[in-house]
Amino acid sequence: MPQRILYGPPLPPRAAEPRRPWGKGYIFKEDISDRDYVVVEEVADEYVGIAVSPWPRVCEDGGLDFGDEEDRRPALVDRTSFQRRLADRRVVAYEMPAGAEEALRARPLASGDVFAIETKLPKGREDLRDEKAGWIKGTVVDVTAMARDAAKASMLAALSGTPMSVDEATALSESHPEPPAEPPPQA
Amino acid sequence: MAELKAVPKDLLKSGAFLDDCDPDDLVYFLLNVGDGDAQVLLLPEDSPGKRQAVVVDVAKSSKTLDLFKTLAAGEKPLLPDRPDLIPLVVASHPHEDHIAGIPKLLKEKAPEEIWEPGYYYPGAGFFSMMQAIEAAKIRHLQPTSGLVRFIGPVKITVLSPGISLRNRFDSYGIDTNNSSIALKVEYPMNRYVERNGDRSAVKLPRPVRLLLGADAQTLSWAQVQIDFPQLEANGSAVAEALQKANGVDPLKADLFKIAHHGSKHGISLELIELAKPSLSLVSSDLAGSRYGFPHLVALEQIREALEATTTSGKKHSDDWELGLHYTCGVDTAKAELGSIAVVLSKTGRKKSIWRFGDSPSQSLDLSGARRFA
Repeated sequence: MPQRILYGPPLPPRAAEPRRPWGKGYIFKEDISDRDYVVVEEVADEYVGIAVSPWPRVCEDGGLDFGDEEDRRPALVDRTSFQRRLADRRVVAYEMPAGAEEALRARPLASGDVFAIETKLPKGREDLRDEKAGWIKGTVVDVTAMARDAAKASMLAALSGTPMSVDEATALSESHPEPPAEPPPQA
Repeated sequence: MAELKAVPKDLLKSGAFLDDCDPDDLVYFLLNVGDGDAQVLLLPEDSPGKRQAVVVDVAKSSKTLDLFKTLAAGEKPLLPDRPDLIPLVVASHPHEDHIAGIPKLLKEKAPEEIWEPGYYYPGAGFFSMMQAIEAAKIRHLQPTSGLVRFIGPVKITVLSPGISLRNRFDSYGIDTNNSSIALKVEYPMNRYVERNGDRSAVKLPRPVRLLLGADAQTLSWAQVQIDFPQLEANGSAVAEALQKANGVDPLKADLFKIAHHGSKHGISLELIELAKPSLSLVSSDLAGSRYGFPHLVALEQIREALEATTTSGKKHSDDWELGLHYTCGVDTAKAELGSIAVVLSKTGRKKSIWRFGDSPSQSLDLSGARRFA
């Protein structure tokens, strides 16, 4: 096991476990683990640059494994038809407050958005602008929020060493309670 | 899409690249990886026959690692392997075409330190890079403008991201490209002498200077121009006597790795006018470029900044005469020009440009080197 502790004591050895698809059965409302992981890299004029990779697996330390760099491929797709497909068939992968889901569905594409998509990518071609939305099969599941959260955790793991225990996180959270949503009534 | 004129093949002469690299020279490589960045800077020798290297972005691990293998081979290798071969790796920003190969480089070459902008990004390359940093037990910095690191006589200054951009990552509208770590490299910066037991600083002409623009866009460059202002010399007798306020031109450069593959959002006329580089290098794919890099409007700005013709109405000189070179360039025999190396002496008088004829998927082969006349 590689040395991964910068500060603090070494981690105890972990039990080997088969790598499972990220989020299956505990984050997302549906099983999307047979889809591709599609990141919006650039929104340029009428086109969108995307990076497509196989759905990530969860490592034994909780990090996400996307395989080798050769497993990923870039593509350029048509912005308008992608956006239209999102408006029609964007599925939000998790529970949201009332009204937010509709607003999220209408939101314009932005760099850093992440979707679970069953893709149809012609072999050896990066320029798919003429395909319109033909490269998308079925629904588009918006996983942006979880992917952002996972990215943040991934960076913190690289920077800060040993993770907090759940008990510690709970205790710290309880020592800083959320403020009440409404101001208390005036006397 | 811009159309690039083929370089007359007679301007390129086959030669022995290694023979051109003197121990005191900086050697800069801009590898041909298509639309992407992979740069390696060989520092001057720190002991006979031995150098270190700084790596800035690794679009494809195979291309960069093959370069290291090539440079370590032979009877008199330019870059023999050593445990502290790479003191610094810079991951300019978390797009795949800049960092996809970094995890493998970290694993195979064990560099001492990595810089990345701290823009957490949900791309596969970012996750893999973070996993590799976590596993490698490597010193890790997230620099903003003004940070300086000396590696021997070479000074590296972070030009961007400015701290005001950093403080808006990423939730408040800072594009991923504008998180780019742009760098200024200066050499030689050991500007002091020891004489009769005393040390004193010496005033010398401006050092050799490289600007490595990553994918920084105009918002980021605007901040750079605020953070690194051009200041005129004070000129008063007192200022001159005290050697104060001598004037600075912090963005003037010998070599500029043009930002964002020649994107129309990557440069401004004013920036190039300030830098006035004698060499402007563009890493892009042209025919195979998904985004049509380099953009014609960007190239026209570079040409105009290097040789103003708006008033005269004259045509610009050819790109190679302006010092503008592309990894995707071809010669008049339709041969690819490929990766670029620039050998710079510490006086700045030698600035040899070498081309290696490799396509984005091929390794760099020193035996195919041609020197630009």
